Amino acid sequence: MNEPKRKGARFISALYPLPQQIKEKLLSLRPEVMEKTEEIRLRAGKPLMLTVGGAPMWISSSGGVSYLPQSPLILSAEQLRETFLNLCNHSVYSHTEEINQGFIMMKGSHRAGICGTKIPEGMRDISSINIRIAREIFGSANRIVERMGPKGLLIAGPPGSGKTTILRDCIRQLSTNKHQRIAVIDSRGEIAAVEASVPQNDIGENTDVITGSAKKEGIEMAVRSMGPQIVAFDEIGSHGEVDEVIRSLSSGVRVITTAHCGSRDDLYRREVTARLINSGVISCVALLSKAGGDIEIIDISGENG
Amino acid sequence: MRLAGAIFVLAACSLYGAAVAYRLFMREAKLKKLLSFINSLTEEIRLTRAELPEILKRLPEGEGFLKDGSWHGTECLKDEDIRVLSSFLSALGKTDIEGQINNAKLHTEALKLRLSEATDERKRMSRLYMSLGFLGGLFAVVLIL
Repeated sequence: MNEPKRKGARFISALYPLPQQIKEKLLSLRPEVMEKTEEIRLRAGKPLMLTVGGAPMWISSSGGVSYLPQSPLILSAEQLRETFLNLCNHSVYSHTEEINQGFIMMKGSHRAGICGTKIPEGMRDISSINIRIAREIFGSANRIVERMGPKGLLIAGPPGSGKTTILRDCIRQLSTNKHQRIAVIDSRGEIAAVEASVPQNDIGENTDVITGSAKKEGIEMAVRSMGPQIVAFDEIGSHGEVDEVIRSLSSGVRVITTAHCGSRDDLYRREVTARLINSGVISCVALLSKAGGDIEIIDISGENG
Repeated sequence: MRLAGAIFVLAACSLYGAAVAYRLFMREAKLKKLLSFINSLTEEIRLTRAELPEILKRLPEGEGFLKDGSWHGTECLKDEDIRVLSSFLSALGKTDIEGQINNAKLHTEALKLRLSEATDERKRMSRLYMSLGFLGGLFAVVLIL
């Protein structure tokens, strides 16, 4: 089992692609700020910004953070380019599939979203990078695990609300405490962060991980080969994935997944989530509002009979 | 004493001539190695798509050729050879697969030209330098004696 990490350790582990000058400024921040930082936003020719506890903050050129952009530290296009190349480990060709989807997976399960000029082979003239710091909060899914119904679970919420963090804790608790056999389809390497065959995040002791596979194929592969009781994956997004989820339920496997969703109404407005709910494969929806905020648990087993 | 001095001068001049000729051999050998290295590197990139540090660890010449992003052991190369290598390096890893293959092709062609020139120069000049070294030494010996 992983040791609890010291304050700000996650933040520090996400700084490796940044140019030395920027890294030094960020390393001089107070541990409390590091701990609460959710994102590091880099834009060419613009101030370096952090998202701390949901609010934007600026790094000043003399160091330190403020809620106002006073003499902010400006990032040059060259520094952004250097960050991009470091993110790719100076091997852009090795990350073209990720780049085409608009992100690069980082060591330590952090994720860097990228923007630039889209071309068929990928992206050029990178104009901004958003490093999202992965968090591991033990116990964040306590209420959800207690109230999880007999079927699947959907964790829904807006971007940055902590869906993946809660999904990871759900997996860990169900695997370790409830002794469920879980197969994780970690298509972006964000849930388990497997490095050299060993998951870097604590995802429980009865969990198998398929990394890098497309979700639809991954679910099929896991059900066929690992005999899981639960299949878990992040961000259900296509009808093909919903079809596979419905099929897996007919094999007696429960599903835990996440979806982008702003409100309760959105659950039924978005085709994919509405189909998932109406198909009866899930019995419970955990609706998140913002990171660390309230979680509304909706029992939908009654709604579907 | 004079005889010993004369032998020493003759040996030193001959060695100098041989050393200059040896640089020509070394340049040709280095260019051949670089061509083979670029070829293996490109094949690895094309087939495995692994990251550069991983590929370089796998290739026998990898770590010797590349360290801290610069070429090592290039003393025997001419400025123009180094310019071609630097140009190859400046685009290495910075584009998609097709870009990497095109980068390798372009610089492989340029290096082949450099190699053909190096082979030609080695054939023409290596004996000349060795002979000049020996004859220069002999001339000095005649003057000493």
